[in-house]
Order: sequence, then structure tokens, then C-alpha cells
Amino acid sequence: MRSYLKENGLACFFALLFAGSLVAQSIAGQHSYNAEQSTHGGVTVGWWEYVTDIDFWGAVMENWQSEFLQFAVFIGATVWLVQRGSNESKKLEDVGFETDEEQRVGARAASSSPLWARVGGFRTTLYSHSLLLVMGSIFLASWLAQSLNNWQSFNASQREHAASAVSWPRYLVNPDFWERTLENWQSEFLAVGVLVVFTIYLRQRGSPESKPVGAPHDETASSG
Amino acid sequence: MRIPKHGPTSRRVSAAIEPSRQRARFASLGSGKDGSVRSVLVLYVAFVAGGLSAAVLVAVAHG
Repeated sequence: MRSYLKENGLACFFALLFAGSLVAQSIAGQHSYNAEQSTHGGVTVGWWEYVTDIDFWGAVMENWQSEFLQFAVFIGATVWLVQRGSNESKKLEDVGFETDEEQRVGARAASSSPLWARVGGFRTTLYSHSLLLVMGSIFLASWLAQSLNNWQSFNASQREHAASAVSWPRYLVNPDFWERTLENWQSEFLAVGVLVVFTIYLRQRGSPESKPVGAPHDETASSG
Repeated sequence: MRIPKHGPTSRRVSAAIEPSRQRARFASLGSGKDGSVRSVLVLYVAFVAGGLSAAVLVAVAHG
């Protein structure tokens, strides 16, 4: 068990943080929802009722889609774009998909390489982009889920105010949907940009997300 | 297994030996250190699939 936790410390740590944060969000969200209901003379709800409601899942999916978009864009952008001095960038001369030898695929693969890296053809091409494809797919799925929950929530609000409901396609061009979407995107893109630029000048000893403390500011793509 | 008349093409060879290679790979992933890594992958896939499924189900149920 101790060995398992040591070898999977990062995954377990973030799994606990995720689960704890999600539960805490649901509790805080329920209290906030009930406080607002009380203010407007509405009916309060229990925890289970709240976590099976469109308001909760709309809020969860809003954040999920932006996080997966952030990583998908970062994975794709770092193939073609570099930043001199940044730990988050590869070397300036390595722009692009790189050679089969550098990527250890097809005839250049080692016997220990994953099967789909060795076999060549469509499977190797697919496997070569699998991380971006999966992260992008999760982004699109969570964005779709956000839109469905926000749409139902928007129409519920419309009905409360005796206004007409809108169709899902019409909601996709509604400012409410884009405000909820873009408020998350802007923060993700800022955070990634800050990380890319700050790692040029700032260090965290022992972290692979930083250059070694003594690395020169113009040294690119070195992990500490 | 039928032996190709004009000798095995590279594709047939890979098709023939892939299952045994895959078994060996999955066997190694299912035990020891690789197995523990695989378990965290399963955990995270469950997180993502569970969250997305729940969100879509709730939205559809409220439709």
C-alpha cells in the first residue's frame, strides 16, 4: 500500500482534491441556493435534490470544459509554438511533429515502445495524437453537457418570469451561454500564459514544472 | 493459422503475432507496478465518464 501511494502520489493527491472539492462545492452550492430561495420566498432543497439539479451540473461542467480546453489548446499549441527561456516550451529548433527517430515510432520504435507506436500506419498516426484527441473530446463533451444544463436552467428562469422558452440551438447563440463560457476561458488562458512566461524568470526547486534554480533565464525546455 | 501462399507479408506477420504481444503487454500492465498505474487510469476515466454521464442525464431528465 505504501509503495502504491508513493508510486501514484500525484494521481491520488489530485483525486482526493477533486473529490473533496466537488463535495464541498455541492454543500456550499446547496446553502447558497437555499439562501437565495429563502430571500425570494421559494422552496428550499435537500443536498441530494441539489446535486441532481441542472444548476449544480451546469456549474460543474462550466469549469470542466474550460480546464480540458486549456490543456487541449496547450498540448496543440506547444507542437508549433515555442517560448524562449520557458520550461513549458520545447527547444526552439524542435518546432513541429519532429522526426520518427526523435518520437521513437515505426521502424525507430524500441521493443519496449507501446504496440501502436511500433506498428506504423493508421494506428501509429492515431496514437501519435491520442492525448490531444482525448482531451479535446472531453472538452467538447463537457461543453455540450454545460450547454444542455445551462439551457434548461435558462428556460426555467424564463418560465418564472413569464417569458418564452428558447430552443437549444437558439440558446447556443444567447449571451447567457457565452458569458458563462468565456468567463472560464479567459482565466484559463491567462493562467497558462502566466505559467509559460513566469517560468522564464522564476524557479521552484525540485519541481519539473520549473527550470533548475541555477538555469539561465534564456535556457529553454529544461526541467528542474 | 493459414500460411500465405507467397510468404507472409509484413501486415500478415503483424496480424499473426499481435495477439500474443498484446496478451503479454496487458499481462504486464495487469500486475505489479504497471498494474498500479493502470488502476489510477481507471479511476480517472471513471471520474470523467461518471461526471459527463451524470451531467447529461440530469439535463435530459429536466427536459
